[in-house]
Amino acid sequence: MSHEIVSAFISHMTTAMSSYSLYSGMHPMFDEFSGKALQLVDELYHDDAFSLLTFNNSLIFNNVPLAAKGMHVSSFLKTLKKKKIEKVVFRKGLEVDEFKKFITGMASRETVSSSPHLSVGIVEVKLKAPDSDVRSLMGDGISKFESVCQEISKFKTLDIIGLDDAVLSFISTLKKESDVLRIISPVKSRSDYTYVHAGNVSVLTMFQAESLGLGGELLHDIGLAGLLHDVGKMFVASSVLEKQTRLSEDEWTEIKKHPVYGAMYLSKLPDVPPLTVIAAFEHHMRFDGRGYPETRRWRKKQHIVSQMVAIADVFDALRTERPYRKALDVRATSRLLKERAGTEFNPALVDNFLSSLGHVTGKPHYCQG
Amino acid sequence: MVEKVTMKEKEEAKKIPLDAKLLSDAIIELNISRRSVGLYPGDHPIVKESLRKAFSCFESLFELSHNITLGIAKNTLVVGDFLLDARNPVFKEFAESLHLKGIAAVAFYSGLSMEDLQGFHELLVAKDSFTGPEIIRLAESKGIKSIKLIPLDISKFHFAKDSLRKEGSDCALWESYVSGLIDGTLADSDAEGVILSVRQEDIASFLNNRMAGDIDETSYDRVITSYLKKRENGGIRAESFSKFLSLIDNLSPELKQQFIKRAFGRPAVEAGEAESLLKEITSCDMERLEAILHENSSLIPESLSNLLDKLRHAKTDESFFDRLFANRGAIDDIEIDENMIRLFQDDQFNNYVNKSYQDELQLMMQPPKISKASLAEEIEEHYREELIGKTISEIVLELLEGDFIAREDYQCLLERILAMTEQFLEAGRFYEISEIYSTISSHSHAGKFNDDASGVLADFFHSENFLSGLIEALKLWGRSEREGALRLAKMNKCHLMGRLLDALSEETDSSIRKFLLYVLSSFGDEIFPEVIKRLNDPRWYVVRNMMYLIREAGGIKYVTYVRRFARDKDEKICFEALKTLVHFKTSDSLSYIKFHLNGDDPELRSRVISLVGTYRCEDAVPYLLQLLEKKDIFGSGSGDKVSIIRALGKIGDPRAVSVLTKIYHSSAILFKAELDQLRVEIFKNTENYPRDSVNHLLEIGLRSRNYEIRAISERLLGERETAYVS
Repeated sequence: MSHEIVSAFISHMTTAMSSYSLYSGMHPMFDEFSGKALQLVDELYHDDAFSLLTFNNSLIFNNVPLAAKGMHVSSFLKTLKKKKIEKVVFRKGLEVDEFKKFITGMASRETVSSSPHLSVGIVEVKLKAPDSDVRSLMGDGISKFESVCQEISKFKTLDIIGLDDAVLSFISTLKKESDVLRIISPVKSRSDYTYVHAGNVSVLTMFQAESLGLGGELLHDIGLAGLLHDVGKMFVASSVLEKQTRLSEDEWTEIKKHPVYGAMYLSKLPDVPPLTVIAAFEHHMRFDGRGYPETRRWRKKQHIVSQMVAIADVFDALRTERPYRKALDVRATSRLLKERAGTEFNPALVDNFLSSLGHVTGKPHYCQG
Repeated sequence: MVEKVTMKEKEEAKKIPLDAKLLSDAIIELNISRRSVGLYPGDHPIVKESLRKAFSCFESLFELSHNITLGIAKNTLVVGDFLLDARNPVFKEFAESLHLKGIAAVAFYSGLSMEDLQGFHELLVAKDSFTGPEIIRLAESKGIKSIKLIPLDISKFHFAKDSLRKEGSDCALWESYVSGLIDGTLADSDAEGVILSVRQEDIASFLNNRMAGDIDETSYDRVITSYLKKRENGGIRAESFSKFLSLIDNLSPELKQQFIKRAFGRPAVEAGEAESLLKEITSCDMERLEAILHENSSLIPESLSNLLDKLRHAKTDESFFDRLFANRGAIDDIEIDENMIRLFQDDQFNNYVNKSYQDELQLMMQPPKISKASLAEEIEEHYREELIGKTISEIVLELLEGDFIAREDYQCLLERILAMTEQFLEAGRFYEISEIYSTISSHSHAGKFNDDASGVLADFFHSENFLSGLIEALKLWGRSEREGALRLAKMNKCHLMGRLLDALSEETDSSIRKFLLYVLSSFGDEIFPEVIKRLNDPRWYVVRNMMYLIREAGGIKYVTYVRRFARDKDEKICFEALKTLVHFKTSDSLSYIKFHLNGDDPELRSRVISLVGTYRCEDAVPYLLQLLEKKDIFGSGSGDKVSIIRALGKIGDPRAVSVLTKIYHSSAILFKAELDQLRVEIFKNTENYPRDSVNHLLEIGLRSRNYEIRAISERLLGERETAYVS
C-alpha cells in the first residue's frame, strides 16, 4: 500500500478538520476535503479495514510505521493525542455521515465515539499474569457461578448479580492473561465439571469475541451466554446425568432436552440478557441446520453467538481431561473443529478461533491441518 | 552538583546487577564497531578489535547467566528490570539504531560465536532498509543461531475500542511491552522461554559439540531446568516435557545418559509431580519415554518405573467417552463418533490420511475469506434489538410448541410472548406478531392448553386496546412493512374490519387512506355486509370509498347496490359508481357511458372518456367517434377531442382510423394551432391499432411537415417492417 495515499488521506482529513474548526460544517471546504479523503479510503482497505495507530509519537498505518512526517501527519497526531485516542479503525462500508461525524468530533470539543464502520480507542499491552493470579481469578468466577447454581430451581429466580460478578471475573482474567489455554481450568472431579466447563465456555466464547475487537455490554452478554449455555442440565435428573453405566436411548433423549429446559427456564426470567436464552437453546444446533433440539418452524439458523458458544463448548469438552476419560490434545481438537467447519460450525468463526488461539499462544500450528 | 550526580550514579550502580559493567562494555564495543564502519572499511582492525572485545565481555557474562536479553525502548536499553542509563549517549545511540531497524529486543545465548557476533554487526551496519521481520529473516539466512532478534510487533497491541487513555498512562505502555518481552510474560510469546522456540535438533547438535569431555554437572542442570521449568503452582508442562524428550533423542549416547540420569534421577522429580505430568502427556510421548527408560533402566529409580507402569495401564483402559448409549458415544452432551476422534489424534492422523490427501483436505476446508471486521460487524448486527427480539420470539414459539411443556411453563411463556408482542406493535413488527398470533390461534383450536390460548386471543389479541394499537401501528408503519401488515390484518380481519373502516372514514392523509383501502380490499367477501351498510352514509367520500372496496374486493354480487349511484348528482359518487359498473362489465354500463358522454357536465364527460379508454370499452367507440366528429365552431371542445383520441388510441379499434385520417386532412382557418396539436396527438396514439389499419395513415405521416409526426411514422413503420420480416 502506497504511503503517499495514506499521507494524502490524512492531509485531506486534517484540512477538513481545520475547515470545520475555522468555519463550520456547512462550509464548502469541509465538504470538499472530507469528500476527497473519503474517496481514498477504498484504496486503503486491506482485508476490509485499515487502521491508524499512534505510538511513540509516530503514526502507524496497518501495523507499518508511516515514513512520511509532514505538517498534516503531525497535526493529526496532535489531535489524536488531545482526544486521547490511540487507534482508529476504518471499516468497509464507511458512510459519509459517519466519516463527517468523526471529523467534526476530532475538530471540536465533542467526544469522538465509534460508529458501525469506524472504531476509536486505545491500545493496551497484555501481559501474562502469573498462573496463580489467573487461577485465582478464574476460580473466583467459577465459585460465584457455582453458588448461583446451587440456588437454581424451577421456582426461584436467578441471582443475576452473582452471575455478572462471575463474568466480570472472567473478563478480568482475560485482560490479565491473553493465552486462553492458560486460563481455562482443569476439571478435578465429576461434580466439578459442570461449573468449570461453564466457566471455560464463557471464557472461550469471550476470547473469540475479544479477538474480533468486541467489548462492552456485548462482550459481557456473550460471556453470560457462554456461562449459562448448559443451565438446562440443572433440570435433567441427576440419576441420568451422572449415570456411569451405558445410557438407554430414552435417557440420552432426556439429556438432549437440556437446551429446551435451559431456554425455558431463562426465558421466564425477567432480567437475563436475551442472548443467554438464545445460546441455551441453540448451542447444540449446527451451522448446517441439523443438531438438536429439532425445531418445528421458526429457528432454522443458529444465531452467530450460539455458533461461537458451540465452538467453545466442543473445544472445551474434548480437551478436558476427566478422571475417567482421556482428553484430546489441542492439536487434535483443532483439527476436528476444522474438519467440521462448514457443517457443524461456522467456518469463519472456526478460522478466527483457531488463528486467534495460534496467535496468543504463539503456536500457529493450532490452526493448521 | 557534580558530586550529587556522582552519588546518585553510585546508588544506581548498587542496584544494577553485577554483570551490568560487562554488559555496558559489550554494548560500548558493539557501538564502536558499528560507528567505525562509517569511518573505516568493514574489515579494519579497529572494527575487528572492538568486536573481539565485545565477544570477550559476552563470554564472561555467560559465566553468570546463560542468556542476556536487551530490550529496546526506542532510545533506552532495558536489561531485566533495569533501564540502562538513558543519558549515556552510547546506549542511546545503540538503542536508536536497533529501534530504527524495527527490533524490540536482542537475546544473546551462551555459546555465542564470533561469527554470529560478526553477522549481527553486519546486520546493524547494512545499508539496506530492512526492518522488523525482514531483518530477522536475514539473520536466519546468515545462519546466526546464538543471537535472537525479536521484532517490534505492533499487532501484539490489543485494541480497546471506545476506551480513552488515562492521563500519564501512555509511558507505561511501552515499558510494559518491553518488560513483558524480556520476562517472557508478553502475551503471544512462548511461555517456557526462548529455548523452547529453538529447534531441538539445533540445540542437541550444539550440545553434542560443546559438552563433550568433563563438564560440570550444573551445566546439564541449566539446560534441563530451562526445559522442565515448573509452573508457579504446579508441575512441569507436558509440552515442555515433550520437547525435552525430542532433545534427548538427538543427543549423543554419552550425553543422553548424562541427561537422563540428571533429569530422572534427581530428587526434584517427586512422585506426585511425576504422576501428574505423566497423566498429562500424550500416548506418543508415553511410548517415547518408555523406550528411553527401557534402554536406560539402570539409571532410573525403581519408584518411577513402577509409576510409569501403573499409568500406562490406566491410559490403555481409558475410553474417550463420558457416556455410551446404543452403539454410539458422547463426550459431555456432544454426540461424537469414536473413529472420528481417533482419526484426528496426532499419532493416528498420518496413518489414516496421506500427505497429498491432507493437502487436498486442507484446501477443501479453507473457510470463505471473511475478515475479522466483517465478522465483528455481523455479530454487532445480530445483537441489534430488532434481531434479538425476533430470535427470542421464534425460540419462545418453538418452546410453546414443545411436546413436554407443562401448563405453568406454557402460561409463563405466553406472558413473555405477549409482552414482546406489545413491543413489536410499537415498532410495527407485523410479521413477528402474525407468527405469534397464528401459533396461539392454532393452539386455541387444537392445542394441549387450548383454554389458555383461547383466553389470550380473547383477552389480548381481540381486546380494544390491542386492536386500536394495531390500527395506529398500521397507519404509522403499514406502508413500510406492507407484507407483514397485510398478513396480520387478514388474520385478524373479523375483529379489525369495522375499526379499520371507521379509521378510513376519519383519515385525512391520502396515502394512509390508500393503504387502508388496500388492506381492506384484501379481506374478501366478509367485508361486503359492512360495506353495503355504509353505502348509506351521508358523507360522499365514505360512499365513494365503499364503492371502491366493492370493486377492488371483487364484489360483483353487490353491484345492484352501486347501480343507484350511477346518475347521482354528486359527480364523484356518480363517477365511482360508473367506474364500478364498467369494471364489472355490467350490461347497463354502456347506457350510462352514453348518457354521461352526452351529458352537460364537461368535467364528468372528460373523466368518462378517460374511463372508456382505460377499460378499453370497444362498445363505446361509436359514441366517442360521434363526439370526435362533432363540429367545434368555437374551438372549445379541443380538450375533449384530445382525450377522445387518447382513449381511442388505448382501445385501438380500426373503426376509428378513417375518422382520424379525415381529421388529419382537415383544414382550419381559426384554431390552427389546436388542429396541429390534434394531428400530432393522432400519431402519438397509433401504437395499439392493428398494423394494417394504420399503415396508410403512417405513410401519409412520413410526408408531414411536422417533424414529430414524421419521426413517429418512421419509427412505427420501421418497427412494423422489422416485426413483419422476423
